[in-house]
Amino acid sequence: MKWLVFILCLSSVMTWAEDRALSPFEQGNQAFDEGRFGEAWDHYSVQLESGHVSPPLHFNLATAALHNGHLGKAIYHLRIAQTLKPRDSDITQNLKIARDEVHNGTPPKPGTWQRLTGFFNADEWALLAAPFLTGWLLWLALIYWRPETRSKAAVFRPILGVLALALMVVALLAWKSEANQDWGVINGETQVRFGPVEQSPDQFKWFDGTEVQISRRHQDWFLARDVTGRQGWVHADVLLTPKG
Amino acid sequence: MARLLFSFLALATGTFAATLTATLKPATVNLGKSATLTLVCEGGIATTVEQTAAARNLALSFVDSTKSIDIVGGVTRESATFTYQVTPRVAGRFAVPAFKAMVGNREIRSDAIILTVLDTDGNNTPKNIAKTPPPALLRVLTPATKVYVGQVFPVSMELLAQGLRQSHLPVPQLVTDSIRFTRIRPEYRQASARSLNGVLYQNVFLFETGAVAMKPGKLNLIFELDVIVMDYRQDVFGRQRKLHLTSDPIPIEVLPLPATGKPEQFTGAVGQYQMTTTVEPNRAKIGDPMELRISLAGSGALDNTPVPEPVSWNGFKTHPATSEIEYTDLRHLSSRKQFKRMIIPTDSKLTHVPALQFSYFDPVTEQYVTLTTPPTPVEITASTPPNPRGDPPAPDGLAPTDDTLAIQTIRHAPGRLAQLQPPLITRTWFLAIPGVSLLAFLVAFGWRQRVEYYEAHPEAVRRHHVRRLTRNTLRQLQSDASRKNAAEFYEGVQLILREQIGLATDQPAAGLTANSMLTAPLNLPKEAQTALTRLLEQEEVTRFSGAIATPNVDAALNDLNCVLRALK
Repeated sequence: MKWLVFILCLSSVMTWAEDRALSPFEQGNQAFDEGRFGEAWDHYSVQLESGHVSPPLHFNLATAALHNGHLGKAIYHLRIAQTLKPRDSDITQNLKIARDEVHNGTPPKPGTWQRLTGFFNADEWALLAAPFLTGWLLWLALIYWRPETRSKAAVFRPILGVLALALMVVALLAWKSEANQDWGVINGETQVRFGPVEQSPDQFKWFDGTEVQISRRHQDWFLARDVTGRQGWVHADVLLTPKG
Repeated sequence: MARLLFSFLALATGTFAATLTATLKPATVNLGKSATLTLVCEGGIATTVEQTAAARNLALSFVDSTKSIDIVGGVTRESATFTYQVTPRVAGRFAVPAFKAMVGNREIRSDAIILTVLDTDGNNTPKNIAKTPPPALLRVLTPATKVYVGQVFPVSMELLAQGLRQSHLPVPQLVTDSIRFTRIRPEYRQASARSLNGVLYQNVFLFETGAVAMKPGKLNLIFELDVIVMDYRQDVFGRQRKLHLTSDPIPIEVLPLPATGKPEQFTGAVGQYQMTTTVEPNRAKIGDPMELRISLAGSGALDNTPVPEPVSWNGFKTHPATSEIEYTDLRHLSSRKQFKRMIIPTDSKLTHVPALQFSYFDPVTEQYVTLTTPPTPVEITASTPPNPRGDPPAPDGLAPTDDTLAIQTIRHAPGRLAQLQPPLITRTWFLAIPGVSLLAFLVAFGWRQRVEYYEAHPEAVRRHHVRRLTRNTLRQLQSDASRKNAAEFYEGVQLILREQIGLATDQPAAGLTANSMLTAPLNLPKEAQTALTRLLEQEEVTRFSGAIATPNVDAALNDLNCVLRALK
């Protein structure tokens, strides 16, 4: 009887273990730890295609790509990871390494706006602005409802108002900046063309990891511009962009 | 022996002292006449002469050329003479351009000369040179009379004009050869109007620049300029004229730099200078680049000065220098030239960057000066050879320090895997939070405005009260209960009438009686007045008779509505 119970328990444990197969993320981690970066990238991509993502997933994708020498993919996923988690020092460091590699140690500096507001993402700015704005509006409502309360802490009311409005503006601008999907990263060295056709003559060359701003789309071709102002058409196959 | 013979021949023929001299006779001619330009080449034979610039408003035609050989005191002197006829096309002052000739392998040049052309025919009366001063003048000022080749000197040009008619200010052009400006376009400023010889020149422009003499010899500094001005000499209303202005020639002697004492590294700089050097970084490994910065500053032209060099660059690999020049005054007489040069140490035993030397000619002391910077100390260390087996293991507790960033490794926890949510700022529930507070604010604001309005306007409160009371009472009058109770019905009618008439006459409603209502100055139409009288009579009858049932409710309501419409 004891043996029978033991065998039944053992079989149930084995069944559970079989059911609990490794997730693509864990398989990616396993492959990465064993130095198979390409394989790790494939596993992480399976997880990405499921639609369930997280900052660590994008970070791991980028790290696998960085070890594999794919700077464009690395920068693309690090930028998304940084949008989701702007104060992560590991993401910032890897992004700096990738950009240094692309620009030979002298990457373009982020704009003033990016430096001022990049500490938080749009959601965090919104969460910060909401209580200030709500509190200020309720305070104003109270003043109109009970005018005798107008003199209480009157000094702080305009300060709170300015702070609330400033935070709201910053949140709106940060949201607008994040909602801008007109950016892309060149994936692999590519020739930039004068026109949106394969037969168009070559204009110049963009290297893997060049970050561009997209201004137009024509079928499978994008008109893009880099930080130095050079502009040309590239095929969608070589451009990683949130637009897909 | 051959050298002695050559020296003798050279001395005898005077090849090394060849000159080209231009003379113009007469220097002033009437329009229609010609002057003779004679070019004499002495000290050598020139086969031909050539204009260095086009002559403006002058026609030059070749007449003849002669060659002569004179032997004076045993010395042979050769000379050639070229004669030109100079015919002016218009009156004015014009520069006859300089001529050049080749003697042996050497180019010699004559000076430019001024020809004055008078607008008369057959006599020497200068009609075109009016008794009054001209409407425009070009004057040139320079303190220099004797300068060295390569020395900068200030030049000021002054344009005085009566009513300048030009949208773009013309710049005086240099006619003289062998002189260059330190500024491509001279700095200019407008001065206040000036009176000269009884004429007021409204437009006075001062051009300031520097000049550098490039060849030794005597020369005349002449500038010319075309301007359009208003000429008031012959017409009181003025006449627009295009004038060709030529400045009076200023004789300048350009001295050659002395041959004695010229240092080997002299590159032609003339002036007074200082030199400083810095090296960054001053600690480096073999093969690492270092930047050597050399600064030359002082009064003089530095635009063509090459980078100062040391005696030897042993132990360094050098790259070509880049330079930037910065002028410290408006005329560009003083400047600072900064050289940057990348040098790469190739020897760990180097202790300093070698001393640099720069030579210039000082025109004040009339001597050559050589500046030498002290050797700049540097510390050079041997570069670490790459270890083919990889980095050696660090000792316990000591990790190798490296400034380069390392790639951060992956995260083993996936975090919260979820579908990306739209931003908070676009979600309804999030917007509802400040939205509700905004709504509360707006409601409170509106309510407060309404309260304050009624406090400031009591008539509006009464109007509102009367309107509401009328509406409610009318509703009661139309009910069945009122129809059955005549006293109650007419009590309601009178209440409405009292309130409405009180509002219209701005009297308290409680103080109005039936009589006062009838006599109130309401200016009602006749029909309404009749209806009011009827209603009040009916009310009085009902009150005194004690009737219970209302005789004609609909008629009474019609009368009431008629009165109310009229009161509105």
